[in-house]
Amino acid sequence: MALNAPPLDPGSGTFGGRTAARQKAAAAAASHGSARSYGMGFLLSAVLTVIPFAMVMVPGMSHSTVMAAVLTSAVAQVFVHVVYFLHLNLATSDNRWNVFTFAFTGLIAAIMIAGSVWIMYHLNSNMVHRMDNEAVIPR
Amino acid sequence: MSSAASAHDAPAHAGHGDHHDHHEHHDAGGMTVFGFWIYLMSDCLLFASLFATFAVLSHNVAGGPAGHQLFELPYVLVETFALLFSSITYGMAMVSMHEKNSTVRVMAWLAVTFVLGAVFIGMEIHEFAHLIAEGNGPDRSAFLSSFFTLVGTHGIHVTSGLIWIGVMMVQLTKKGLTSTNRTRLQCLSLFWHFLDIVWICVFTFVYLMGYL
Repeated sequence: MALNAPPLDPGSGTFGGRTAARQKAAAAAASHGSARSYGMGFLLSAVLTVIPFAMVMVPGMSHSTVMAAVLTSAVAQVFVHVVYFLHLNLATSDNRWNVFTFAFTGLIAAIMIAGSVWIMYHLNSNMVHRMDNEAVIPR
Repeated sequence: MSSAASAHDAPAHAGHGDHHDHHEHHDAGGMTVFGFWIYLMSDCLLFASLFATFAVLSHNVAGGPAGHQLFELPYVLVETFALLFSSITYGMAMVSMHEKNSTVRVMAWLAVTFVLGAVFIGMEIHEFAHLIAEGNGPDRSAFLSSFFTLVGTHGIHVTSGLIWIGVMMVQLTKKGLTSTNRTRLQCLSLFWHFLDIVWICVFTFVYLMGYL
């Protein structure tokens, strides 16, 4: 069972390439973070916020490029927050439970959102084709 | 799980010698934080269903204004940074608690976090009031109904977080950094950072993509 695994698994942590002692210190700090890790997380988040806003506000770029950049930045920033602010990692067995419940929630959320959009799109396309302005309720 | 957890926690906390006599409490606190994490995951599903609703309804403007006619991105950018700054100031409160063990420092960082969170909520209320005053309230179209529900639910969460920060400041003034209060601050930390993550999804899918 996962609970019986050693708490510090060298090489599998997020801080690869360090000595065992530093890994141990890093794992202790990782459970609540340090001023430095919060600063790092903040810098990365700020950059990943400014990039998508700038790309949307500055005209002249192709729609698909901007869309891809906005989505990539969002996914990257969520990842940065999870690692630097929520301190999710696989270094301790306690944390592993948090990661698994988080991953499961992500799976359910993805099924719910993708499924809703998929079903409603097909409902729309099987209806009489008045999807835009003609179908509005008069006010 | 609890016995395994305490055995594993022991080496990691050797540096914090003052906790050793509270080991039972600490472990119970860890379970409380984990339980709170499970609550956050269910909250995550609440937001997922609101995002799904928004995704389905976002093009149904009923002849009314669409997102790119309503949203002011510089305003949203300032809101975003207020929340991001509040995330890092809450982080500094946690660092003060774990490394300095100083009630005064924790209180100071909580106060800064509260102000930044209040700025965010103030700006959001102003935006909502402006939209409603111009006739673009939640009753205007399905798009605006889902917009107000999604963004408003996030706003209510942040408001709850502000109330919780206020309650914690009273608790800290009266009792200091007791093990119970430490556990509460850890739960609030998860809550506050979680709300910032939800906001990333809001400004990406609602504001930025609505503007495109």
